[in-house]
Amino acid sequence: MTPGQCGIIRQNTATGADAAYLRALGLRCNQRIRLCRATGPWIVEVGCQGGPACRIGLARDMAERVQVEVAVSVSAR
Amino acid sequence: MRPASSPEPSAAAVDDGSPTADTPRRIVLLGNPNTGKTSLFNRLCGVRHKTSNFPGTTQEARVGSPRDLPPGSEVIDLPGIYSLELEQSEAEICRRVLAGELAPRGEDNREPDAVLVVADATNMPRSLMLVGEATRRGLPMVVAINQVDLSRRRGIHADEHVLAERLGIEVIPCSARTGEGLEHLAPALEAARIPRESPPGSEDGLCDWADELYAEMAAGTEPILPDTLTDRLDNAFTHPVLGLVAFVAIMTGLFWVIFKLAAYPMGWIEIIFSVLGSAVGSVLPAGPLHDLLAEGVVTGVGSTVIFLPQICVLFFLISILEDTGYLARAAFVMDKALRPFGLTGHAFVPFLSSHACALPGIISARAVPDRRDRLATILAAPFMSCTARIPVYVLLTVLLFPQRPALQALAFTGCYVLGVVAGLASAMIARRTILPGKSRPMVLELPAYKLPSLRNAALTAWDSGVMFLRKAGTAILAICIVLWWLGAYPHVDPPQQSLDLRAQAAAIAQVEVAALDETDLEGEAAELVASAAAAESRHGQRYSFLGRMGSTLEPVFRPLGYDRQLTIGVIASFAAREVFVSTMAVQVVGVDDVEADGVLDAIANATRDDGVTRVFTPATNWSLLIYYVLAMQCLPTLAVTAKEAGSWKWAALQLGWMSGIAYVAATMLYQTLRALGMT
Repeated sequence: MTPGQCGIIRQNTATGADAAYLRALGLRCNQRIRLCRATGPWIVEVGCQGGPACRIGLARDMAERVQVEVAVSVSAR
Repeated sequence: MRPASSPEPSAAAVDDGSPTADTPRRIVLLGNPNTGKTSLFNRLCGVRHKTSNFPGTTQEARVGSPRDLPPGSEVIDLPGIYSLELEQSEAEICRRVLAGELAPRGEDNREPDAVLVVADATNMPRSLMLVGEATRRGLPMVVAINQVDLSRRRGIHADEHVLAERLGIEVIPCSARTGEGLEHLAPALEAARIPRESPPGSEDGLCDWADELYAEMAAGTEPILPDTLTDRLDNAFTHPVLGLVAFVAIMTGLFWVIFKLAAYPMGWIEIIFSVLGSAVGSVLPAGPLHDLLAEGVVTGVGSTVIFLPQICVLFFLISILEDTGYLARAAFVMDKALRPFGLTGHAFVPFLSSHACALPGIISARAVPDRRDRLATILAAPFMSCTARIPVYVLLTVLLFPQRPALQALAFTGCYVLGVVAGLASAMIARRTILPGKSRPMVLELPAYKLPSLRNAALTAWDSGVMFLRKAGTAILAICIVLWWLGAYPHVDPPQQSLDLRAQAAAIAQVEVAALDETDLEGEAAELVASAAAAESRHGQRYSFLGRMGSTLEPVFRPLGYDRQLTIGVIASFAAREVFVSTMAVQVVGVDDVEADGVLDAIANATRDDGVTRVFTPATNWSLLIYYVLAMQCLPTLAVTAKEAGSWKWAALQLGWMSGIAYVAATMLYQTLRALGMT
């Protein structure tokens, strides 16, 4: 997944409290996300395309636990 | 904007047990972080609130009296949470308050009369998850959809009527920033009803329920496009190089403003307490009560309150930065640097604040979400060089490098660097021993960039100031009184040297010794009386309880190169580090103003009791410098550590660890320099 691309979360391999925290933040299965930045902290926008969104910053090792199916690229405004 | 309400009241609304319109109500505010919950609380209650904590926790609790609800009603601002079901202390507090098992200190435990769930209009899908969890509690409820001004600007729309009709409760679109829609909140809270629908019990059921509800609310709305301005700002503020440059620039500006802005009220406070001390001195006759009030109470309170402006300005500016959305980005920038030491990016604000004063630094460690990360941050924070250390650094670097400002500056900077290194190393050791486990990977919501609220910042500064005075002021006052008493008692007869000097002064002024009036004397007589007073001060201090403790403890500090006088200085400054300078001035010169003419020279040339050996040698100065960088010489910090960490054992550990390191490091340095002939 590259910055600007959207995708749908298919699996979250985090466990225990981390998994619950990610879910509570909105990073749950079938949720649509957009990757905004993939260096340093990863930044994803949860709920892109069509609805309100929030941005979540993730350390790389946490981001790697979220598996996403890439959907379509969105042309930026 | 009109509120949305259910067309038919639910059965619960007509319960016999429902409060009447004039019954005082307990309202609890529940919401995700960054939804403007605290802004809403401030709008509802303003300054009519008190800050305490939830019993058995360090979690701050704010209880306010809302303007528009019946007298006696109260609003409890619960901690911001992402889910009621998380295994986090904040979520547990919310669960227990909703169940009527917990209330802020001083309040009785009972179920709230209504829950005001604060949803975020710019992020309704996630807010609906919390709304769904709240409906499961079976309590009367109102939903406030906050930040509608922001959502409107971004073209986000969700029909609140759908939510009101589905749940059978009042739903109020509003903006705590602009005040829009807030007039509907109080009537809605008075008519709060139990939701008639709640999501299925499972986690998936809740997700499906929230998704379906949001789809219904947002039906027919235009899709919104990605916010590229936020993308660009995020790219800059979290960039490894640009982000660091921005961070350094913003933080330098922040501290420059703190020191510049706080300097004026600090000066005024100093003048007020000086006038107050003189007033007490002139009104009360000489005696123990006079000394206690003038030298113990007024000086003690003054030495605390003088730091109040710095603390208020610091929290005001941090609140502004937090409101803009920058602080979350800065935490990510620092995360990479702090992680090797077992800390997270959340620790940078406490460390930064500790360079002004460890007290607000430790208090601001509440922002660190993980308990072990938070404890490591609290343990390391007092190593950062606070402003109270500056007078000591100045004195010792001047003594070490007289007339060489470049070397003085280098040594001064070295003290700051050493403090940071010692703090980080201590955190790393703590995380590998007593606080084992991996730091939780940083996951943080990055709130939208927006203009900060000055009103919120002012209220935050007010809260912090009141809390500082209440928590630390009382401890400092008690400590100052005890130290004053130890330094002032027992009263001893004046030394022969002083009697001789007064006799000479009396002879010059051609009056009886008993009739000597210091205010009327001039020239040589005045100088002789001043010398006599200095000798009496030295003598009194030497034979006071504190002085005797210094003599007793001198062998303990001898390996560090300290004599009896330096030992007294170190012990006296246990309450506050800066006291060391004035204590040494009093001991070796007899005045407490180190900036007076010749005092610095007198300190530099002061001799030990043998009359030959210097008190301040290069080896002793280096030893003292290292000691003051590393040692825990601040009792109020220990009191706040105990409070924030939840136990005195952490304060005891901090004291033992910091003092132990300081003792060993100063001893090693002194003995090495001594071996090299630098005494």
